[in-house]
Amino acid sequence: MSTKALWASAFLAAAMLSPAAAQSQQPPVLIGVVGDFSGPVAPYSTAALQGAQVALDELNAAGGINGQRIQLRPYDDRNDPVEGATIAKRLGDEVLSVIVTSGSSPALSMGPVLNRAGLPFITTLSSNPAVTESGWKYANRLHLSDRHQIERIIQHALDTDKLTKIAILYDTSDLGVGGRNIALKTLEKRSVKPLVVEGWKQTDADFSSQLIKLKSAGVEGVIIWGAVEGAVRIAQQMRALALDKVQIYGGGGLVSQKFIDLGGSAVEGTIATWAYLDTSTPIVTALEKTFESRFKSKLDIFGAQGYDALRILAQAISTAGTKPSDRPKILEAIRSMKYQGAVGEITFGPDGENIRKIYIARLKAGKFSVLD
Amino acid sequence: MFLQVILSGIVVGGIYALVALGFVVVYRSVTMFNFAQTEYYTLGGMLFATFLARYQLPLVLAVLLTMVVAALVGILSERLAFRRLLLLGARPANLIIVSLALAVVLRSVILLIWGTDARQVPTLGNNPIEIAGLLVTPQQIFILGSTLLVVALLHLFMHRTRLGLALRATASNRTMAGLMGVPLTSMLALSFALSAGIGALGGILVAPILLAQYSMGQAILVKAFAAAILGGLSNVQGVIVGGLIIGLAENLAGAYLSSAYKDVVAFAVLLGVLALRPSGILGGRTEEKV
Amino acid sequence: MTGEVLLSLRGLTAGYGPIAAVRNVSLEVRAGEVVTILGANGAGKSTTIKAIAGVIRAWSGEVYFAGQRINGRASADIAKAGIAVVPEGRQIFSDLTVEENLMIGAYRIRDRATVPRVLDEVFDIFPLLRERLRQRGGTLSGGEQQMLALGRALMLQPKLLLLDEPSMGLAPRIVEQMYVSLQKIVDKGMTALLVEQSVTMALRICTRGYVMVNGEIVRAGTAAELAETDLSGSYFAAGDAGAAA
Repeated sequence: MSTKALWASAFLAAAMLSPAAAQSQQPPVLIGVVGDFSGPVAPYSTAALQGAQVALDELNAAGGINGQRIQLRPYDDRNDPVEGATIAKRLGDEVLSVIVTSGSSPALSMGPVLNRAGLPFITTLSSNPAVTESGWKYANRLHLSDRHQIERIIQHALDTDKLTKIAILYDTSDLGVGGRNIALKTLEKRSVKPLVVEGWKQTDADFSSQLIKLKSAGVEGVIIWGAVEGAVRIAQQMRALALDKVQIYGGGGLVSQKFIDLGGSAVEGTIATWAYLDTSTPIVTALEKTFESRFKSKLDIFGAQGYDALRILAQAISTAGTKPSDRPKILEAIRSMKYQGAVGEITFGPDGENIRKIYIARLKAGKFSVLD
Repeated sequence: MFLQVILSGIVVGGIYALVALGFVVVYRSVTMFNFAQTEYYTLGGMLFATFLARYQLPLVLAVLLTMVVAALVGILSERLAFRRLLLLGARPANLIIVSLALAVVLRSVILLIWGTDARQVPTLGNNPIEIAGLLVTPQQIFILGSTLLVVALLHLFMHRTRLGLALRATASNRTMAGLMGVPLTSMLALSFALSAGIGALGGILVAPILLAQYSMGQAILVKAFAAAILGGLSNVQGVIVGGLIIGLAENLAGAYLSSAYKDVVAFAVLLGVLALRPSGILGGRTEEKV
Repeated sequence: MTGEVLLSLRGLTAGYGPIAAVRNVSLEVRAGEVVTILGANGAGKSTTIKAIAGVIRAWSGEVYFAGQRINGRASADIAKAGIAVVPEGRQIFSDLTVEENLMIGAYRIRDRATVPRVLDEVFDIFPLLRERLRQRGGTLSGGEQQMLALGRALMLQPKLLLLDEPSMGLAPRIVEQMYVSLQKIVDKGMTALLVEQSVTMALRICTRGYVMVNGEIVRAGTAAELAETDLSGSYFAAGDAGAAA
């Protein structure tokens, strides 16, 4: 195929994606969206891609980036870290910048590859601290990190609830152990010594030996960090040992219908960090309307983060430039911007971690609502 | 605290014993380990959850129906996976491999039907009652009561009925039992039905406190296996003792050392007992093959 | 005194692995007869019994019992048809009690009310078993175990009794007692096929007999005819040589 024909087909594709920018003579700005579009976390990745598509239409309708259209290229990693790394290797040649909507394990396999290629990227689903703590200069996160969530929940327990007798229960997965380490360090900074620190395996059935320790230590609050099923079992067995007065604290993973359905009355009163989407702001109200009429599904935090991620990239590119050599400047622009988006006011720290308000939610009468 | 730890060790041990009992029933009659045993336990939990929550069946009916369906799956397993090999006198290693394959097949079918999501099963009661300073839930009492009842019924069946006698004769000397008119194929089907039914009951009992999920069988496999080995594989009382030892050992270790040592201590006990008494805690009564 | 043909073997060949232990054996047992198969160790006598009882499969040939072909059936079905076995080495259920061993014999009795009557008949012949009811089979002496094995077989109410080396491993005095009991059973009209190395005991109780050497029947005759033949000289020497080869 000749170069001319290539351009022609690219235009054709662009025309179908974005009719408003069809007249433009310049080549489009290409943004890659990697995610799991056919595997176990497909609902979250897909929501983020859809959010980005809404932002894309708005941006192109408003003239794109300095007159240049933006185009999205989706890549399916099927939540497979090997597939993720393979895709990441191609991206440096194919797109200017990347939105990673994958779960933690492909996100972590892509991180070093994207970083080596010098591609600024924003992750919208992984909460694993390693995304911003592995020294990958080009990494940015637009989601709650476990570190921030744990620091926030501990702050709530110590300062708002005024508890001092704290226990930590964690599952022995990467997530759980990572969470335990952060919690220990956070408590140490506050000079609080946890009374009980115990792990559980995801296959474990019986938690009585851990919980009896909680009981004899007279614990007032327990931070449970791990998979939802384990947290539910613990809550139910706490009740069997008359530990129902002990406050349960957890992470954003617990704020789900699954936790509420499985746990029933045993998990009532649970307090957790929440990647909350405030639907009362005008920007979210408008986004919700467009999103829901276009995709026939409800806008959630992941859709909103996908929307914001593309807007952040577009804003950065518009100040930095659209050539591959402008990528370091794009990164700089992301780090120095103060962005007001669907998920609220966001800035990025020097490590690429997003800094935003983390909400605290409480489960009451079978429904989570914002406490703080 | 100590007594509370002992109590929960006994409850957990009872579950291990119940699942191990399924191992033993089959082992006695065909001298093989059926590693698919814990999948009947999973099946029990999933079916029970479905019958109770989805079809709103009364408790007793849901329990019975679950056990019957599991028993039928047990019979099917024997007929489709093992019978030819057993009649040909296949080596134990081959039978074990087939049982592992059967476990994979059953787990896949369970996954196809129910998916990976955990299911909530209503408990008989999760609010503790205080008895002499000990906290006991109705569900725990139900677990212990059912385990004792099943052991007693199994003992009665084995020693007071014509079929039970035939099963024991087949376990003792399969060829001779055949010569006495005991049909081997029926006995094989019967022992698989019994073991699957008992395994399913284990699943029914724990589902309310642990959630019913496709992976629950894999989680209990090693513990139940250890309980069966500890018990000496061939007698019912031994399995109960084996299950209780594992349950108590891991709970005491979890409470007084750290939960990280729960499994380690349980298996150290197993290895220790096997080193001192290779035929199990109540060993010495292994079936004699003439 | 003898009736219709109860058991008939036609060209039976059977064995283990690649080796045919029994070749082209044909024999008959008529109702009311006691027929013996004599032969050295390894001549194929036990294999013949096992093939009739369905413990091993016949390679070729047929086994008819009471007019029906039974080879290829499961041993439990053959037992149901009316053949009871007192196997070599007695094979009692050692971890079951004496009573349970006997009740296993009654497994196929449909009318449970007849069980005590059958049990009484067995106790008439072996009064000692009544005293040992609660004892585990494995704790009995060799002679007592042999009585139990016989009693257990009688519980099946068989039409034909297959006896495989009932005197093996027993003291001469015990063998003597056992053959007295066996005579009582036979006198009540039981048909039997008896495999025995002890020629004198076998010939004392049988009506007819066959001699097997190296898996084949080499001679047949009445008890009196066989008694006159010098069995130990010609056939058994050859048989032993064959077994050793």
